[in-house]
Amino acid sequence: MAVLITKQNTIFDKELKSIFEREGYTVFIAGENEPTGYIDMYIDTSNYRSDKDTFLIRDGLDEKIIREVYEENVLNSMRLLENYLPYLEKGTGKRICFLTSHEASINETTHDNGYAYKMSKAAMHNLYPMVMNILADDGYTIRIYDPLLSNGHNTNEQTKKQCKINNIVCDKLSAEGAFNYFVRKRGTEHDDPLRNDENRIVFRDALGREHTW
Amino acid sequence: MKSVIITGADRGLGLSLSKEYLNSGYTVFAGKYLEDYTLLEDLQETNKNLHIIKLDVDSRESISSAVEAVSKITNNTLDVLISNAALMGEVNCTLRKPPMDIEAVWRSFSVNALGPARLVELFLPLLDNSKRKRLCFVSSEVSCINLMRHRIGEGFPYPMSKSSMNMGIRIMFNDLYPQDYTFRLYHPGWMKRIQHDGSRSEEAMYDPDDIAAHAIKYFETDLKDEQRLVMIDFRSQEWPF
Repeated sequence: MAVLITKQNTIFDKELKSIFEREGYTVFIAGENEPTGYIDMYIDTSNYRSDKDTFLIRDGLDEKIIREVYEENVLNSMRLLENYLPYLEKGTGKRICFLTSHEASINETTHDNGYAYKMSKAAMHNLYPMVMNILADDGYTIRIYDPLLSNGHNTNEQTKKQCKINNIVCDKLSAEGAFNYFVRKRGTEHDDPLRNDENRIVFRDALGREHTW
Repeated sequence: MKSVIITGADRGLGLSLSKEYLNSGYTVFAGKYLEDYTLLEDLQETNKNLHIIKLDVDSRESISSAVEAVSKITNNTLDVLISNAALMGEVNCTLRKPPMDIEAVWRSFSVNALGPARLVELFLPLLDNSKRKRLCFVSSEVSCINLMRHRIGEGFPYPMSKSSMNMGIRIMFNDLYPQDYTFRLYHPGWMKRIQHDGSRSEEAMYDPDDIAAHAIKYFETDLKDEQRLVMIDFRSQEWPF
């Protein structure tokens, strides 16, 4: 089985690569080790945050930071998917995986800042079902995963506390969780052939919790 | 006299809301973007409380000029802000017809998602001076991520931008609701397009005048659960994010 991972920017990304290699997968990295024929799984690890993404609306929007984060998390992600889709078409796995965060859930977030990251991820959250509307009939499935890693950029005490809790999930454990979620069929974890949950677009975090959009 | 600014008021819902607010006794600042539409000028002939201001929500300079214009007339205050302007239209941005027009995704985001946030940011000093402090946003059913699966239509930019907009509104809500601001998020449905002569296109289901008559009730009524951020449609039904 061949896997393509788009980036190796973080400890999580590197842990994920080493787990897939340990489990016998052929791993390609975009820009470093390009696939030559097909891939079965596409993992976009774009999950960029800026330390300067802390402004409140009264501070004024930092549109340079917003563009920088949007470029990485949305525009570049879309370019990568378009670029590698032909390789997925030739493979048999046809699984597409993305990273996100529950902080970018419109329903759940309690933050008063983080416009750049959260608005970029909200755009991607809307893209996932639209992508599946196009590809699902051809056998594609999708995984959206929150690794629960945070750079602690939030300003108030409550959110700092949240970050501390989230950081309990270390990179290695989170990457193990990602691997297990990415390679399994969803809804058939207990080998029950009558259960299939692939049609629902959901996101789960590293502790197995499902979040609302 | 109470004051409201309405973006994208050249035609459609924005124009109809301008009429409704004028009839309710407001001073209306109508944002004009489309040079080739003169329906606002026609409306102004019989309404001295209508002020037409050039407004491009994709430009901070344009919004700043609008803030200055409003401030001079209202003595530095504003009661209600209605973000209605949006960039729609056909673009080639879907996976099955490569290459995707990726820059269209940014253009849509910049107008539809950042535009409302820019408006709030730059009008906040005026809104702070009002007791009303009401922020209204026109969104869309395509912002509802839960409902996008199995939706017909392949254009990516507009739905993506509307979810980003809702996210931006949520962050502003978390910040500004404790500061006595109240929020309205509205899905108007599929409305008939207004032509240059004021006539309605045949396609689409709803007349903007009818939708505006409903929307103003939602925008103007104080609710018992202002602490909830919800999206309401033209039938008063709630939509999930």
